[in-house]
Amino acid sequence: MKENKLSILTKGIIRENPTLVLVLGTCPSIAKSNSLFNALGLGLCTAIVLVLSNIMISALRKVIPDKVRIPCYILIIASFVTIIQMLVHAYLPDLYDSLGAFIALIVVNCIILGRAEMFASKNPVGDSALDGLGMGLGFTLSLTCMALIREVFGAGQFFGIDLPFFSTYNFPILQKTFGGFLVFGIMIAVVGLISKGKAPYKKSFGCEGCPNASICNVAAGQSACGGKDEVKEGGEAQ
Amino acid sequence: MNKTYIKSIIVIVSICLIMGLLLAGVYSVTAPVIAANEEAALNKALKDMFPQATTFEEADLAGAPKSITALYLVDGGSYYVVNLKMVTGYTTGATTFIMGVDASDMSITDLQILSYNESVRMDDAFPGSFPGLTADKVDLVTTASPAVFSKAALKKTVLSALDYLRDYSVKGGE
Repeated sequence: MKENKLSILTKGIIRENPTLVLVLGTCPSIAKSNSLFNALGLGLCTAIVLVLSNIMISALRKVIPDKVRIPCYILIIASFVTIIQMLVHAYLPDLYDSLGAFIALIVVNCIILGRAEMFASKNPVGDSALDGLGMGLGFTLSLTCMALIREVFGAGQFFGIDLPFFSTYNFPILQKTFGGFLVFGIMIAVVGLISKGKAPYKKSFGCEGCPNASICNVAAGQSACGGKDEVKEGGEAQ
Repeated sequence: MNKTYIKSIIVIVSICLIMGLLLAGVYSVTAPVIAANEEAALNKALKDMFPQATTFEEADLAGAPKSITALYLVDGGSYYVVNLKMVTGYTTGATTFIMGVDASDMSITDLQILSYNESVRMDDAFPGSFPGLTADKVDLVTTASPAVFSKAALKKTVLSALDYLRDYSVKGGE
């Protein structure tokens, strides 16, 4: 069923939030959600790369041969990440110093390659841009929520400013990796409760929607899934 | 040759060219800004390290190890300041720092990190464990977690710089 534009934009924010529902991009989410400054910075950089790469991949979707689609996608994504890295280094040096190697690591963020493969390579440019924006905003939102908890309750600060009471009474463990995993897990549980378990964990796509359809030959027995992986939304594998 | 392979090659090369041009354009705009920022940060760090100093004279680096990118003589050579980059570590060359050394006894006066791009951050106290130490005592600095590998690389860079400065001082700055 064709989605409307608003649905494409908003699904990435809660219903299909890439971090808390799809559980993608976990590494930067935990590593850089220890402060609001880092979280917002990394989230927005990732969102910009998502939008630009989705637009370009969607524009070239009929040109890129199936056999070399992954190298092409990574080439495009890595170039945009490098552009963003140079721009941040030049005009936001404090953010560049703070994020360090995690700007370059946006290249291997599963959200970007995942959306390129599952959406941008199959949909028009406008829809792909909206999808990238929605997913990017969802990623930024989840990172910001995690950072809010970890910075206020872990360091007693808000954007580096000491807060009364919390600056004296806080849980420094929340600033460490253990705290990151703890907050991450709790937030996944909370989102699951809010969505009452209706967040899709398997999408129905069948063989027609499978990314490997063009190189798959179920009849000849040359299929990774044997043509079995068709599932209904929220249901069990057939 | 199969048409599919030819098309694949053409597409990949074309994407490389287009993205390469885009990267070159952005680089041409941002490189001068980045260089100016780095110079300003270095000048500020030098002034913070030696606020009373009047001159920072850049010296020749003949025979210096790769980790030393610049050597400054403070007020005619009573102190040295070396601009260093880590040549080992996870992301080589991405961590740069300056170190002040007292020329009279080759002890470290200060160490400031200018840029750090390893994925695990060092604790803030680690650079502060070097001031007052000479080369033989630097070897005793512990490199406990976090960032053990990066700390060890920084320590190695500091020792290499101190060795060079000792020889430089003995040769009278030649």
